[in-house]
Amino acid sequence: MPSVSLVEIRNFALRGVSLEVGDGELVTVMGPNGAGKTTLLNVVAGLVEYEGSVLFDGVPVDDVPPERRGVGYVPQSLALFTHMTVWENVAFGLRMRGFDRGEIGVRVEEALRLLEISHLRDRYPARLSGGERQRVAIARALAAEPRVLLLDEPFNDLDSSTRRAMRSEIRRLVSEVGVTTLFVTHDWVEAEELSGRVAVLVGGGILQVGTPEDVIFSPATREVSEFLGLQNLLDCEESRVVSGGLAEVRCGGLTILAPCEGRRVRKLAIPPEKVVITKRVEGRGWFNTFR
Amino acid sequence: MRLSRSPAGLASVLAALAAWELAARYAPVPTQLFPPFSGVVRALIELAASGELPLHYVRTLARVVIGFGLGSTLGVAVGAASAYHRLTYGGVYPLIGLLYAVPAVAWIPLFMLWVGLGEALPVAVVFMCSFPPTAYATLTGARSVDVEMIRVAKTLGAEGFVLVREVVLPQALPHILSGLKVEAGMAWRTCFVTEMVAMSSGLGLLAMEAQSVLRVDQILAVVLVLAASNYAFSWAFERLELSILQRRGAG
Repeated sequence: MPSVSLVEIRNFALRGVSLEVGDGELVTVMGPNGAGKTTLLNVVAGLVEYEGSVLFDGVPVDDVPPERRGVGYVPQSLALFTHMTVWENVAFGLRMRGFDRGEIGVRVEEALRLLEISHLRDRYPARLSGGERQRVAIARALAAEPRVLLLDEPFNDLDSSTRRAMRSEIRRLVSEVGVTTLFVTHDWVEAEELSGRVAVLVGGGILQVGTPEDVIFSPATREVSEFLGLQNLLDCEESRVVSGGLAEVRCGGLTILAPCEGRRVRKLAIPPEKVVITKRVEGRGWFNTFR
Repeated sequence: MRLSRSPAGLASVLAALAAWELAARYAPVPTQLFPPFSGVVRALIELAASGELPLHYVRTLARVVIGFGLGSTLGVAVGAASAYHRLTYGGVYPLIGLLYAVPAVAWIPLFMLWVGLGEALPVAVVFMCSFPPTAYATLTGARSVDVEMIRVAKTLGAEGFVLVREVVLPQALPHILSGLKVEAGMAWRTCFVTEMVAMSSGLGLLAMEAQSVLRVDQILAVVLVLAASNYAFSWAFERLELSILQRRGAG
């Protein structure tokens, strides 16, 4: 799998973006709406015009049209071909690239098996659930063995439990297939769980690239910390899940009830506007009270 | 459109036929001028048995099928080819829009001079009735295809004509078929009028001949045949559209 380098990319939405993604690495691009995240993926795929240079393994691909860049693209809307069955969707890229029938069969079966959707092969997209559609879109992108995989907020329309399942699915796939991946999201949990490195894109520029820890504990600029919305970040000494959505967390000498997704809580952010100092506790709805 | 879809539809048609029958029998109007439904059915059987109706019907059917077939095929081709690129779309769209605005029968006087009074005339007029709307439906259908879908298809290696054939046209198909459903009916109407005005055969001529000998029952029998044919064509396209949508799970 090649590495991907973006050098000084500029266009209507991006202003001088540079980014390195290593061979087989998954880098998450995070940022608020309108930051240029989708445009960045479109630049890598060659789907929009830009100045600057995109290199796969050090070789510029700026003059290579999207049909020949060998990129697997999963857009936010998934854009499954509604007039084709699951099997035909996954086979599409292989057919377009002129693989023979036998080879197509083998590769499609392999992609369906990898995504655990072999049983859905004859269904049309309209008859699939959100999570199943997601898997088909990823299988379609992976079947043709792309050089680079681009995922644009693929979990947006999923409920939280399917999201959790798909997150671990992506983690498994990336390690199994080892494809160089750019993953766009605005969800911190996804970024933290999936990637070794996070790039924060705000207003068309990359403000920080680093490990999730780096970004969260030392935001490079005020915009980054504002985007993350993380203040009063505390390390947790221990945590115990008390119900499906709540955990009891020991933190800075206090025991605090905090929302969780059934997992251990390691860090806790307390937004200052949620802290109220009062003489009298009125009514219900107070999550945590300390005297 | 479909009578069988609701019992109310069938009932209202039956009620209208019954009212027609009763009104014609008991109204103080000569039955030669206002024949009952049963009289029209009798005239229809008579025309069919004499061999006159089948002869003219086959002529009209052939003209409709050829004119509509050519017009809609070329319409789909032109629409699909010009939808692909900004420039061709910008160039072709207003032309198609202009042609669409001209009623097909308005071409009759011109085509009478250009192609004469032979078989080419109704075919040319029906062609002009089918081509602009089909091209228009294809063009708008193709332009409404999800941009993301086209982008994904490109990243998967589809380009140019292959992209149109594999993604754009199949996606625009329901749109095109609902256009064809309407235009198939229009083709019958247009052919009928052309035959009334300028042909020496066909259902239109049959109606004009019946008029010249004051056979109102025969005129109405021809009108019934026209309506049924029109209906059958539209129904076939509607079935096709529905079956495609159902297969894709969207119907």
